Order: sequence, then structure tokens, then C-alpha cells
Amino acid sequence: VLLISYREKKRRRIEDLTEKMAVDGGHCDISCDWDGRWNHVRKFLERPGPFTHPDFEPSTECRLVKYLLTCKILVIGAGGLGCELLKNLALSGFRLIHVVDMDTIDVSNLNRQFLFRPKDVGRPKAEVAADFINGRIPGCKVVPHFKKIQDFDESFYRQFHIIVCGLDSVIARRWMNGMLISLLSYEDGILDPSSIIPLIDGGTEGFKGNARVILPGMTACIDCTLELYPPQINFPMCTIASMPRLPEHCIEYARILQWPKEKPFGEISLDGDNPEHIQWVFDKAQERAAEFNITGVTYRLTQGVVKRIIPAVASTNAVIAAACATEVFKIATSAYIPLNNYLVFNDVDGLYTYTFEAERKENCSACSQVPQDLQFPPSAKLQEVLEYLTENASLQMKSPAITTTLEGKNKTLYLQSVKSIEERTRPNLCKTLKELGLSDGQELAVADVTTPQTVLFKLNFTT
Amino acid sequence: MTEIDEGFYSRQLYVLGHEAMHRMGAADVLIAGMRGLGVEIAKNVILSGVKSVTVQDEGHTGWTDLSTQFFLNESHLGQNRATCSLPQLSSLNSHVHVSAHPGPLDKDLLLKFQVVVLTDSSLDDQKRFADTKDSVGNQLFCDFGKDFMVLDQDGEMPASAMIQTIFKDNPGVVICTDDQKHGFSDGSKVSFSGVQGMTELNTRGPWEIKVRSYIGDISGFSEYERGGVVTEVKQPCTISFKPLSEALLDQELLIFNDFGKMERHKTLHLTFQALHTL
Ligand SMILES: [Zn+2]
Repeated sequence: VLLISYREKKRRRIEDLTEKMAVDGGHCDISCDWDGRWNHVRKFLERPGPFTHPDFEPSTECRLVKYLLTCKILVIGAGGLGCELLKNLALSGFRLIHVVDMDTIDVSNLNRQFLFRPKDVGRPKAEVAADFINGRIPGCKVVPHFKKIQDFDESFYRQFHIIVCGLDSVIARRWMNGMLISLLSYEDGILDPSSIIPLIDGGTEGFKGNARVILPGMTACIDCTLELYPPQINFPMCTIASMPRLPEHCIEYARILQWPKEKPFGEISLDGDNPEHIQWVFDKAQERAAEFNITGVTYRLTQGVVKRIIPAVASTNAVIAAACATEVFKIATSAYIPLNNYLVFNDVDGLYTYTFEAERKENCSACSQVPQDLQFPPSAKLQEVLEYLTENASLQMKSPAITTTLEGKNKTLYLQSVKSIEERTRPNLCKTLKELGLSDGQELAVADVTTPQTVLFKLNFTT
Repeated sequence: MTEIDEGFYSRQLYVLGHEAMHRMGAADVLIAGMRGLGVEIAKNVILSGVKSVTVQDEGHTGWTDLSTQFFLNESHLGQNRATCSLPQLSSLNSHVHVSAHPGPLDKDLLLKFQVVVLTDSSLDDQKRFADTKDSVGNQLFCDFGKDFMVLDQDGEMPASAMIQTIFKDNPGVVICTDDQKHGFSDGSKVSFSGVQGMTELNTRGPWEIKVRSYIGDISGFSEYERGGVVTEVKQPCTISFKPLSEALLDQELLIFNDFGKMERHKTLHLTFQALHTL
């Protein structure tokens, strides 16, 4: 009973919140609307039903349709999911859509990113996708940004009512998640609901996919559920170099370290489409795997890792994008209760869907506001701290930069991304925390590509 | 057999493999109904790389179609939906032959295809066509006919194990190295490779096994010396599908795989039938 009432309470909170988040109706141009254009949408918005939001009031004066037309949406990624999302959102009545994508079109995109044609290869995805949608859907205005998400600051992201992600990178998702958490404002520890921008996140791999609704600061965020993601292709360098565990580690060792050193084909870079190159990496990876008793290195896996192939089929993207666009529609109109909060889809074998409520993690490093602790003995080396940050399942940082304040001065303990600083700070990795002058309770500031904000850790010495 | 365009299909090839792609590349598919739903299915099937897709629709583009059918626009009003969707659909994938059929659906037409997808048909039509046809998919009802051959039942890599020794006997006994589970089960079929001495094993088979690894009579074979690997040989199986008209009456058929919604599949089943009576 307790559990039910807790869940019920939580559900009510989400309902209240999404009700408040309904977008203010503004002015919009409906001159290009023909008679009956929004009939398909009005069927949802102008009559009550058993599944509508408890506070939903149907309106026959097109008021709700105007909500849609004035709601500002940001789509991150114009790839497999992005193309589908843009089409679905535009057909659902959203008109103010921005899309961000840093990539240009590749031939391998054409078999699912259906807004692109062979003549578009080499052009920015965001621009081609926007042109296509704007040309097909009268009155829709998609604004393209051929940029990285990191190129924009808070003021850019703050202008949107809802953000939808169709990304293939966990790092980018985490960064976006961190950005939306940084936009939250708290008054006396109470979250201001108007500072929440809902994040709808879709992901696919082969026949599997997931869609989730994140209300930053309210429901489980990306980092709360980091353990759910498969191991990333970008493995920590120290793992590849000194303690491989997975077949992928061996392949990466051959690709990153052995290829440039041994130059098997002279001064040419590794070409994933050249079978001789793949064979060479495969052979080397097998040798290394044998050395560390690792099984599972195959030619196909080698090719997959080298070419960074993320398996993908058009229909899975279509299913997940449809689920995400539906959630955008539900939140924008407040007509229905949003997905709570994580949908899993798999049609490898039959057709399977499962929805569960991902739980917030009490000490989530991204959204909890709980200070993060690091427990190490004073004799531990900085290298161990670095490995913890990259390998701990709930942190999974990529190239953490660690700074602290010593005797009133900022001191960089280790920073990997700038070569000269890396060389200068590398000796610190072999020093113990005590030798570095760190004390019990010391604050360490850690910056990483997985978050736009610096994460503060408190160093607790163990004995 | 035509070559697979590996650049175009690389991501999908990684999921399906060459064999499945070749099979798909031989299929002719009919998609009936070119409204919002039909065009989505056509788009995804064309992108996936079948041999041909025919889109069928007798209806003409109306204003309301423009709200949900992404490939129709104002200039198509009053014209056949299938014909008007054709240029956009065929530009999706030059490897797939796409054509439009603006005429009615009938038995003869259906028989030309390996797969038929109905999106806009009455239940009576669905039943009528389902009875004439081996493969009809609609509302996620799949009827692949009475003898649908499944070549690989689980998509897993075939199990294999290193051989420690083989006793020359009837039935023969194979002892595998390492204590890890070999993954074979009673009735599994296996083949041998790299066996030295008893080389007959490498060339014959597949062998049916009983766990504790008995194989057939090998008492006449040469003496086993060393080496070799035993590998599972996947056995095709045949699945029989019920036609739609029978399946509609069958409660048991509604196998659900979402245990969170125990009763819903039955409700849905009835709901869809009720919708057709409206
Ligand atoms: Zn969190």
C-alpha cells in the first residue's frame, strides 16, 4: 500500500508539473492552413477520453492546436532518429523547430536517413534535413545549426520548451543532460518547475531501442541510469594499454597503439574499408587477446570497432522516433500523461516492449546536488583516482581533468586533453595523494567531456 | 545473385549479415493503401533493400491526406495516391524497383508477391486475401504459411568446443576439454574439424548427439590421435502458421510477452475486431 501511495504521489507530481509546463498560446501564422488540416490532431485535443490527463480540458476553439504551433522544440541530431523526428513533429503541428547536428552526409546514412539523397552526400545533415521538411510541410520552419552541441551556451538552450535527442553517443547525451540540469533553479532547496525543460531521449542499436522522458531534477536523468548503457567504444587509454578485459580492448590496442608504431603499410592511415588493413588489425588483436586470455576477437568485430559501426536499420529508428514524437506531443499539449519513464523496444525475436520507471539515483553526480565523495588512502596514487573516475560504472568519465586549490592557488593535478599540460602533469600520476600535498576533506574539481559543468568531489582519506 | 552495395547498406549489413540481406533482396513486396501508415511502411521496406515494392491504392489524394502522408502535397490533390507517392518513394533507394498499382486489389495481383502488407482494408477483405495468400502482415498479424522454414532458430553463434579425446565405439564417445559448459543439448547436430587420426569425422556428418556426447557408430573409423573442434550444425525447422480467419477465433494464439499487461492482449484482440464492425 505504501508503495502504491508513493507511486501515486509521484505520478500526481509529474501530472502537476507537466500541466504547468504547457506552453503559453501566442501568435502564429495560420494562413497556410487549409480547412481540416489539423483534424487529425484535433481529435486528440477536442474531446475527453479515458486516457487523457486528469486535468485535461478539451477545447474546441483551436486553442490547443495553437499551443502546438507556438511550442519551440529543439531536435538534437539529424541522423536516423532525427530525420524521423523532424517529419513526425512537423506533421503533428510543431512549427518552430531547431535542429543541431555537426555531421555531414555519408553514403552509409542513405539507407535509413530518408531525407537525404545521393546528391546530398558531403552536405551538412542539419541543413539538408531542414530544407526537405520546410519544402514539404507548408508553414513549418525548421532552423538548422551545423554545429556541435557544445558550441551553444545556456541562453541558446533556455529558449526551448522541449528538447528531443536522437543521438548515437552517450557522451553527447550526458553533456545535454548536464546542460539541462544546469538550467534548473532552486529556491530554498525547492525546484522551480518553470526552469525545467523536458528532455525526450531516443536511442537505437540494430533491432533494439529505447525511448525515455526525463524531467531534469524530477525524474531519473541520463547519469542516474548510466549502468544501463553498454560499454562505450571509447575505452579509457589506461585500460587499452595495460589491462585489457574485452575483445574490443585488444582491437583498440592494435588500432591506436600498434598501427602508428609499426606502420605495416607505410605512412598511410588505417582504412576501415581496406580488407588487408582490417586483417592486420585482426591478427594483432588476436595475438594480444591470446596473451591476456581474452576470447571473442573476430574479423567482423574488428571491422565493427575500427569503422565505429553502430548497427542500424530504418524500421527501428522509425518506431523509436514515433514514440519520442508522441511524448513531445503529450507534454506540449498536456492532454495525456507522459511516459513514466523508460520504454524498451526489441524486435529481434517477436515484438517486445516494456515500460518501467527508472529511479533517480540518490547521489547521482549530475542531478542530485549531493556532494560526491572519493574514498582513498593517502598512499593511493593519483593514477588510481583517475582510473576510478573513468571506470566506476556510475561515473564513466572519458578524459577527466583534475584541479584543486593548494595554499590558495589553483593547481592542475592532471589534464589529458592539452598535450603540453599532459606532459607537464603526467609525473603527478605516479605520486601519492599525500606527496601531492592533498589533505583529508580536500575538494577536487573534475572537468570532463561528459558534462558542461565541473563536478566537485570531496576527498576522504581512508586508513 | 546481385552484389550487395556495402557502402549503402553497411549499418544494416552489420545487423542482418549477408545471407539475410540476399534473401531480402529476392523478395517482391506489395503494400496496399498509401495513406499515412502505408507510406511509412513502404518507406522502411524500400530503405531496407527488398527486390521490389509495389504500392497499391485506388483512392485519390484529398486534403486530409496531406496532414499525415509525408510524400503527398497540394499539387497531388485529386490524383491517385499510389501514383503520386511513387517519385518520392523510388528516390529512396535506387537498388529497389518501386512501382505503383492504382487498380483494385485482387487474388491474381496478390499471388505475384512473397509478402503482402494490407493497411487500409476491411476485415472481410483481410480474411478473403489471407485465405488466398501465404504471407500477409497486417495489424502485426503474421501468416507465413503452413511451411515456413526457419534456417536459424536463435541467431546465436553455433556452439563449439575443443576435443580432448574420442573413444572408438558404437556409439562413439567424444570428451571435450575444459570444464566450461559446451552448450550442446540432446538431439543437437554437430560437425567435426581438425581431428587428427580419426579423420573420417572431419568429412562426414552432421552427427546427432546425446549429451555425454555420444555420436553414431564410428567403431570402424581410424584411431583418434589428437586435436579437433566440434561445432554445432544449425538445423532448419518448419513452423506452421494459422491463416487469419482461424487465428481470429483462437484465444490461445495470443501469446503475450509483456508480463506487465497480462490481460491487455485479449482486450486488444477483441477491440480491433469490434472496430471493423463499426
Ligand atoms: Zn541523475
